[in-house]
Amino acid sequence: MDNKINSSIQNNQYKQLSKAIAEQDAYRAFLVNANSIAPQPNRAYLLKSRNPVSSVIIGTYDTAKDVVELGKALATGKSNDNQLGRFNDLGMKLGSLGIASYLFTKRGTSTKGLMEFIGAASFFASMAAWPRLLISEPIKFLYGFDIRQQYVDAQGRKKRLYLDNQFVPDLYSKEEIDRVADKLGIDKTTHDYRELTKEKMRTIALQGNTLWMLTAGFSPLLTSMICNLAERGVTKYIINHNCSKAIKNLDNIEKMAAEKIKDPAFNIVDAKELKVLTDPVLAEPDKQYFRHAATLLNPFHAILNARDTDDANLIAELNNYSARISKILEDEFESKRVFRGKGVLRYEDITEILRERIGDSVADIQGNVEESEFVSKIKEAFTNSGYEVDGVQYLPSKHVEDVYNTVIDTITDPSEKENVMRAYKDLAKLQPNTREAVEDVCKNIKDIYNTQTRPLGAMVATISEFLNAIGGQKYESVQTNIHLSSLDELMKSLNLSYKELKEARLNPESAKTILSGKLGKIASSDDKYGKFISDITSRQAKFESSVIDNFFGSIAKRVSSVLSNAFDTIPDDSPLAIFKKEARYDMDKVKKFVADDLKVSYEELVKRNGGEVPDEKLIGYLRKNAPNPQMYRTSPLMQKVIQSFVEEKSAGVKATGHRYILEADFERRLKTGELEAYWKYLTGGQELGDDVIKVCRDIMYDGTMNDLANKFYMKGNGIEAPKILQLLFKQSDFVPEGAKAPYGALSELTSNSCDDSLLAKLKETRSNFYNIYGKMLDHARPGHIDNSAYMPSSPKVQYSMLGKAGSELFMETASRKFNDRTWMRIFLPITAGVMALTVVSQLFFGKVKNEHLYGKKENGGVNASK
Amino acid sequence: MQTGQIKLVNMPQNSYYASDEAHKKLSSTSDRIIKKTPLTGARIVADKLVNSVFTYAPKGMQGSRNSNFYEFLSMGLIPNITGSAALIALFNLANSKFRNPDRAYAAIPGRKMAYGVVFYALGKWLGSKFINKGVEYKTGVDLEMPYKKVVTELPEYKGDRDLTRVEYHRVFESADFPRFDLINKMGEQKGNRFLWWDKIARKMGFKTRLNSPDQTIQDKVREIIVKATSAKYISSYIWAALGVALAAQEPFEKPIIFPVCGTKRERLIGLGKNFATTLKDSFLDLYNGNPGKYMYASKILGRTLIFGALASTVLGVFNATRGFRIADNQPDTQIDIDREYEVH
Repeated sequence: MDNKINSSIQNNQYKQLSKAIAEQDAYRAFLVNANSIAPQPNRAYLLKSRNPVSSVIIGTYDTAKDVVELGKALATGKSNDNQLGRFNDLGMKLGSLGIASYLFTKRGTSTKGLMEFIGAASFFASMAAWPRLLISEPIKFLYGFDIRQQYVDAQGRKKRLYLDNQFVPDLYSKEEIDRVADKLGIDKTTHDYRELTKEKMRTIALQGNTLWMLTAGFSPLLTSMICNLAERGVTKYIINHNCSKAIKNLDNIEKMAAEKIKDPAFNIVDAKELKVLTDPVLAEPDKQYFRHAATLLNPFHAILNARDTDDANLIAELNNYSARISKILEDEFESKRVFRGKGVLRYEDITEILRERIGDSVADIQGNVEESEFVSKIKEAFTNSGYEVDGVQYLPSKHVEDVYNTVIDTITDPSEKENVMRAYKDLAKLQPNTREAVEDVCKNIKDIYNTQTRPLGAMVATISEFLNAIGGQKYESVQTNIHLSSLDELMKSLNLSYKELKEARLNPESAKTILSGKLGKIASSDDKYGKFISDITSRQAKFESSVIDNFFGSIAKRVSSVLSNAFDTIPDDSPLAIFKKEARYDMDKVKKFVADDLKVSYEELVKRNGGEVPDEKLIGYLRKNAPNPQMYRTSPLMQKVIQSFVEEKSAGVKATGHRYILEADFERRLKTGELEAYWKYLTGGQELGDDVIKVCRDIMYDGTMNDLANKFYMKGNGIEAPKILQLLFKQSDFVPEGAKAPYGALSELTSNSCDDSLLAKLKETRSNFYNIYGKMLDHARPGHIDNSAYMPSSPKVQYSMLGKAGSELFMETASRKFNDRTWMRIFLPITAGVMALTVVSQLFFGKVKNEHLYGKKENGGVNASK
Repeated sequence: MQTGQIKLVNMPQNSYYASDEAHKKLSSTSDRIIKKTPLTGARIVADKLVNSVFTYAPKGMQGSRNSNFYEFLSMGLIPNITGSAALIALFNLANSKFRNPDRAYAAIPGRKMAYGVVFYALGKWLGSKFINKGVEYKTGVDLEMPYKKVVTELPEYKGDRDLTRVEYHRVFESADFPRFDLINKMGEQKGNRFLWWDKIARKMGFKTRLNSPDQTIQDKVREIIVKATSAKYISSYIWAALGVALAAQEPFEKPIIFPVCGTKRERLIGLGKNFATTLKDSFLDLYNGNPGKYMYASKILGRTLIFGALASTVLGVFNATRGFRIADNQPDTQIDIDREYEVH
C-alpha cells in the first residue's frame, strides 16, 4: 500500500517536474529564437502596369471568370465580399449591353443607331477615362505614383491598393518609396522619412479618390463632347459606307429581287384589284377591263407612277406602253371568242342587237328606209337556213360569221362600218364559247402577273429602293447627307456671329435681312466678292459634277443595263415582250468586244466570214464569252425611267445651290450699278427706287411658285412686274458702251468664276424663274394675274425647278447652327471648368497634418523636435 | 435535484453580467440594430447624402486618417446624383433657347432621357427590393435589416473631443462577416438571446425550439446572403435596363398631361391616370416591338427584357431560398420524451 502511495506520489511529482521542465525548455527556446521568429512573408504583390492590348485580354478573361464564379456562387451559396462586388460590375455590363442593343433596334437610321452604341461606349469610356485621365494620370505626373495601382492579395484576388484608406497593404519596395520621396521632395534626413512618404501617398490617394467621387458625375459632359465631335466623323463615314453599300447592292440586285419574290407579302398591286381582273365570275372583259389589266401588268406603273416621278412625259410614255399591252390582250381575247362554226343563236336576240346597234331600219319591215346590207343579208340567211324549234327561231352562228365576213369589206360608210362591227361583237357575246374565252383571259392575266410582272416588279422595286437609298430625299440618303454638309459649308463662308444667328433663325424676314446684308457687304468689295463667289461656285460645280452627274449618272447606266437583262426572261408571245423588244444590243460595242476577245480587227473578221457577220452570231458569241453580257445592252425606256429618276432627285438640290449663287450675284449687280443702268434702260430713265429693290429682294430671297401672286403682284407693283422680271432674270441684247456683257447678264466676277456647264445651268434656273413667273402675268391686262395660267404644281415640282427659298434655307440652317452653338456655349465652359478644377486642385494634394512631428535624425528620434 | 430546463428568464440579461443601467448606457454608445419603419431606408440615404457632402468629402479632401471605406462608398451617391442631373441637363437645358419647332423636337429626346434616368434608378431599386422582399417572405431573413454603428475616431487635432461618429450599415451586408452578434444582442434586450433565431427556425420548419438555433442556422443565412446578393446584382440591372427601354417608347415622347379642370385631388388623380396610360402603352409597345427596320429584333429584345427581369427575380428568390426548410428533410425522432420507459 505504502509502496503504492509512494509510487503514486512519486509519479505525481515526476509528472509535475517533467511539466515544469517542458515549460522551461519552451521558454528557453522562445528566448533563444525570439529574434529570429518573424511573420510569414507577405504573399501579396503589386500588379505591373500592362499595355492596352493585354489589359483588354485580361479584362475579358476576368469577366469570363466572374461569370463562372457567379454560377458557383448561385449554386453553392459560397463566395466572398470581394467577389460579390465584382458581380455588381458584371450586372452593370450586362444591363448596359441590354440597353444599348435595345435602343439600337429603336433607331430608324443607321447613323442614329450607330450613335447609340458610340454614345453608350463613350459613356463607359468617359466613366473609365475620367478618373484615369483627369485624376490618376496628373497625380502620377505630379507625385510619381499611381493611386489606381492594383495588387493581388494572398488569396489571389485583384484589388486596388488605395481602395480602403484604413487598410493599405505595405507592398511598395524601399526603392520605389525612395523614388516617390524624391518626387515629393521629402528630406531624407527626416527620421522615418519612408513612413512619412507612405503617409503622404495615402493622403494623396485618399484625396484623389474623394475628388473622383465628387467629379465623376460630370463625365457625361465629356461623353457628349466626344459624341458631338464623333457625329461629324460618323456622318462622313456613313455617307461613304452607304455609297459603297449601294454599289455593292447593285451587283446583287438579281439576288435581292429573288429574295423579294419569295416574300409572299410582296405584291405590287392590291390583292382585291387583282381578284377583280382574274376571277372569271367578276371579270367583264371590255376596253376598261383591258386597260386596267395592262396597267396592272406593266411593272413600271405600280412602282414608279405614283411614288417617284412627276415627269408627265414619262408617265405618258408609260401609259402608251400600257395601251399597247392592253391592245394585245384585247386582240387575243377577241380572236379566241370569234365564231368557230359551232352552236346556234336565237333569232330574236339577233334582231334585238341589230335594232340596238344599227337602227330602226331593222324593224321597219315596210322597207321605207334603206336597210343596212348587213341586216338584210342576215335576214336572207335566216330565210335560207333558219329553223324553228318549240316556237323559238334559231340561226346557226356559222352563217352570221359568213355574212359578216362577206359584208364588212364592202361597207364604205365609216359610221355604218363601226355600227356593224359593234353589232357583230355583241352578237359574238351570245356565243357559248365567250365564257371560255373569259376564263382564258383571266388565267392568262394571272399567269403573266405571277410569272412575269411580279418578278420584274420585284426587280424594279429593288432598283427603286436602291436609287432611293442614294438619291432619295430621306434623311439617310447619300444625296441628302452631301447636300446638308454642303449647305453647312455654304453658311460657313458667311462668317456669321452668334448674335446674327440668333436673329436670323426667328423668321424668314429677319433671315432675309441678315443674309442680304451679309451678301451686300461682301459684294461691295471686289476682292471679297471674287473670293466668295469663286468659293461657292467651285463648291457647287464640284457637287454637281462629281456627286450628281458622275456618281448618279454612272449608276443610272449600270442600272438600266441590269434591268434590260431582266426582260430576257419574258417569253416572246407575252404582251410584256414589248419591253424585251425595246432592249437592244449596242452592236458597235458588241463588235468591239468580239474583235478584242478574238484579238483580231473587225475587218479581219468580216473577211474571214466572207461578208458582214450576222448580228445573231455576234450576240451569241457575246453571251457565251462576256462576263457581263447585259452591259452591252440598253433599253431606251429604261434609260428614260432611270434618267428621270436621277434628275428629279437632284434637280431641287441643284436649284437651291443655283439660287444662292444668283442671290449673291444680285447683290453684286446692285453694287456695281449695272442693275440701275439696266432699269433705266428698261423704263426709259426711271430711278431704281428702294421700293423696286425691295420687290427684287423679295423675289430673289423669298419667292416660291405659289406665293407669287399674293406677294409680289398685288402690292401695287403689278405694272412694273414684267420689267422687274426682265431686270432680274432676262439678259438683254443691248451691250452698253465700255461694258463686256449685255445688260441683264450675270456680273463679271460671277460668270468668270463659273465653268461652262455651271453657267449654262445658272441660265436655265434664271429662265425657269422668268418663265414660271412670267406665265402668270396677264399680258392683255397689265398689272393683273392670269388666273388660268396659275400653275398648281406639287411642292416637289416647285422645289425641283426653283429650289428652296434663300430666306427659308438660311433661317433653317441658322437655326441649326444656333442650336449647336447655344448648347456648346452652355456645356463647353462647364465641362472645361470642371476638368480644369479637377486637375488644378491636385496641385494642393499631399499635405500631411502633423508633418512637423516627424523629427530630424540628428535630433535623435521620433517626436524630438516638437 | 431540480429537473427540467433552466428557465431562460433566470439567465442574466446579457452575457457580461452588467447591470441594466450599465447595459442601457453601453448600448447607446455601441453598435445596435435599429427599429425599421417604412421611412428608415430613406432617412438613412438622406443621412448618408448629407454627410457625404458636408463631412465625408471635406474629410477625404483633407486626407484624414479617419476616412474609411464606408465613407468612400457613401460618397458614391454624389456621382449618381450629379451624373443623372448632368444627363438630364445635357438634353434639356439648352432647349428653351431654341425656336419653336426645334424646341418641340429637342424636347422629345430630352423627355426620354429624363424618364430614362429616373426609370433606370427606379428599376434598379425595384429589382433588388423584389428579391429582398421575396427572400424575407420565404425565410424571414431581412437582408436590409439596418444597424447603427458607432465608430470611434482618432483625434483630428489636439484636444479633439468629438471622437464618435455614427454609420448606418446592414446586418447582412457582408457575406464574410454578418453581424450575428448584434442579432444576439437584440434578443438579449428582449430577454431571449435566441429570439430571432427561433423565428427563423420556425420558418425552417422546426416545430420545437432548438437548443442552439444559431449554430444550425448561421451557415444557412450565409448561404442566403451570397445567393441573394449575387442574384440581386444581376437582376437589378436587368430591371434598370427594362426601365430605360420603357422610357424609350413612343408614348413617353409626349408630355404627360396634368388636367387643368377639377379640384386639386381630381387633377392629381387625372395625372396619375394619364401616367398609368402612358406606362401601359409603352409596355405594350415594348412587348409588341417597334415598327421599322428592326421590328423583329426589337420585339425579341423587348420581350427578353420583360421576361428576363421577371425570371431573374423569380429564379433569384427561388435559388436563394432553395433547401431552406431543412427540417422537412430531417428524420422524425424515434424517442418520445413524454413516455416513461421502464428499465428492467
